[in-house]
Amino acid sequence: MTRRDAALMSALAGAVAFAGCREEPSTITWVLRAGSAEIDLRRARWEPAGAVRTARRIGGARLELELRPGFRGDVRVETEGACSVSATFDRPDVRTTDVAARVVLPEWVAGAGYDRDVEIVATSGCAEAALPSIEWHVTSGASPLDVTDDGHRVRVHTPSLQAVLATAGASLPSWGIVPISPRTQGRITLEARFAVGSASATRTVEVVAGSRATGVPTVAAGGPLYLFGEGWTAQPDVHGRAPALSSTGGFTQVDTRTPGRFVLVDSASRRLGVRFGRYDEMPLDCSRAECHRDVGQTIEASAMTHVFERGLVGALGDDYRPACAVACHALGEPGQDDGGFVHLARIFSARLPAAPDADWFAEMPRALRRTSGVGCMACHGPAAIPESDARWSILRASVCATCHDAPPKYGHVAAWQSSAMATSDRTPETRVGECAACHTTAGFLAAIGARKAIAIPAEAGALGISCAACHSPHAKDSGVSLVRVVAIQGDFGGKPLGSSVVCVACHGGRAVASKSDLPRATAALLALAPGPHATDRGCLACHGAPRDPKASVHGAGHAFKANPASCRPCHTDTPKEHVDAGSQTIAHRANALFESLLRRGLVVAAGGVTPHSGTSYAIATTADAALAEAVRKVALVRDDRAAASHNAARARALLDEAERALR
Amino acid sequence: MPDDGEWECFERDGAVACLGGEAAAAVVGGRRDEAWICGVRRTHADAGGPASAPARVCVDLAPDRPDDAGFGQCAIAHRPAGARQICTPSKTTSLGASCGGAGGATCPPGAACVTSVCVPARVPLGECWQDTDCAEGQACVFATCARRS
Repeated sequence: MTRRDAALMSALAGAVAFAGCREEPSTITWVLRAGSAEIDLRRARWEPAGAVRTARRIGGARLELELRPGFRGDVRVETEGACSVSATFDRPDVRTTDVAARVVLPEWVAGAGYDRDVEIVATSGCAEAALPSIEWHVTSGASPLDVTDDGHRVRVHTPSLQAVLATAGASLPSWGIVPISPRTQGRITLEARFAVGSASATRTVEVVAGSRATGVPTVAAGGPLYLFGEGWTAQPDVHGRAPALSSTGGFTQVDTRTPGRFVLVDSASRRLGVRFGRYDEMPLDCSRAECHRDVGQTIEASAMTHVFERGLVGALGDDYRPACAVACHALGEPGQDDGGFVHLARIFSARLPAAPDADWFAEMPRALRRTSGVGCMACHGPAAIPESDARWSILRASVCATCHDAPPKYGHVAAWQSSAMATSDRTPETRVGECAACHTTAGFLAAIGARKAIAIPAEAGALGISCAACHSPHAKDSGVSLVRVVAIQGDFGGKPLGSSVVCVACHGGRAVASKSDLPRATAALLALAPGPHATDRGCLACHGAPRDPKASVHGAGHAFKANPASCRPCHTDTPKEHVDAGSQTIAHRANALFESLLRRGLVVAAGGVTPHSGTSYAIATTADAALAEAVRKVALVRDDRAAASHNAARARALLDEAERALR
Repeated sequence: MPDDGEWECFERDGAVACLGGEAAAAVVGGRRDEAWICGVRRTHADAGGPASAPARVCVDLAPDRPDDAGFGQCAIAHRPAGARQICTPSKTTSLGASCGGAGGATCPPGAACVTSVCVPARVPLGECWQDTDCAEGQACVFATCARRS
């Protein structure tokens, strides 16, 4: 053995002995742990005061008292809102005591079920103490309160699933999993006010009827899952297990508490493979070299991956409230035993800080770190990814809706539902052929090369141009908004298109593939051509909400309706279309010119119907190059119903040029 | 675990050895746990299989145990999904246990009795996870290839 090895061995002996052997303590250490989140041990007082040599506080959740050498006797600790604890020490010892709350109330009643009574009972955490009287109030989510005389027992009735879905007005599939967002969770917030002696306290209790569901058939174990329709049965798995099903208000409720893969079959023998699992039990090796390495590298820098970190280090503002944000900035459903962040934090007795705290983030245990942030499992999990025939479901807007459909603050999905984008594929003919490239999310992603073409079953219903068309959580350099970067062709005045590049992929003039084709979907060709509206924000300058990180409603711009407020910097009033000489608006001129082109035989009916402009037309083969170009200019203006708003000067110039060529 | 990545671990004779270290997807990594001694797993010329980054091996000579688990043997049980640490008190001598003296407890293979405490006979290298990682006639002891005793 060398001298170096001997020194290392000696050091190892010390280290191993220190950590591995249980040595007899030489002092008395009393470790007090807060048994619930509202107990703050930083305010603890003890008697006799002189018994304690040092007090070490770790947040409000843990207090370590080291007693004076030689102390023997009783020590009592009092904490506001908590039961007092006492212990007798007669020799050196290390003792741990959990401090219970004086009033024990659940913080969450998650997955309580729709259209049913939920009873909340306040109990005393102290063996000897009586409960104070409690006053109850509903602070959001109307429900009549049924309070017993002593005030300790309160009953609320959760809304029905049909009612919340109808209120949300969402376009939903008629088959399979019912997607549930914060808007349709049937949430009721109660406030309990009680007084203990001269002190009073307020406690909030959230009653949540349903668990959020992305619609992807990989589901957090623990909460209820709802299916459209009745007549479902569950096939036993290889272990003979099958989830329990029950019928409730026209839906089928599935008990997800048993992890595993199960096949559910409806009365028409249609099969739905579902997987139930916990967030903390899924390996996170998705980005290993043999699998999704590229995606793993790009999401390392994603705003979604880092959102909880950014919040805790203060990058999202001093008013960031981790305990509130955690429902969407970490994995899992608060109140549910699903292995998500809040569940694990409860197991670890880890109390989230009230405000940004970079140290808290740095010191997070591994299990919490792996469930913090919006990682892969937020959308694709928590159980294994679904079978290949169900992977289309990741394209549903309901995946994003589990967080971005929480009015009044987060209005992204509600706004989107009011837009034409949400119903772009409502008719079956829009889901096939070239139409699918701009009318369906799957078709669009295939057309731009972002994803392989996939078949979507008819029972899925209309998915619309959903979030995944314009936003890419996986993409590199997609910024905080995760807007997809699309390679496009065409001249848009040489200006950088910014976020509008994803709009232009469909609204920038499509299918001008042959000499006879007429331009279609031409809005961006006019709006982004040189002119007053070709700004750095592109389409979003008028069709998106103004940039305001402190806006009371986030995502309102996802209705994509032109916002009159965006005209204000330059126009004192909402501008009206200029009427040319002869009382002709630009639209009138374009239509009149087109009619004359038809009469002259320069445009001919091409057969079929396009939903954009009625009868499908083509440029006549008899038209020479100059006339064909004139026809295209007229068609370009005619196709854009908002040509006068997008770029009146350019539209007028195009029509003037066409008229001159046609004379 | 040595860090926030993907690891597969077991405990034997009072030391935990972990294999892997692939970064966990979409997880903001924290600090590495300084208690672990890490190295790169030996690879065989005939190993075959898909190309991937060399696997790391880390060893912790003084692993944490659940509260009140006592000093004994722990197994990290691998179920189809997830891992659970299960500790059962054991009389088998392991790293950190008292040795020599009147009791005459013997340290496990690969460990030596130094100042009445069992410690690894060599500073771990983190080069192996199982015996087959080592050359013929060698065994993997505390993540280090050693002559089979």
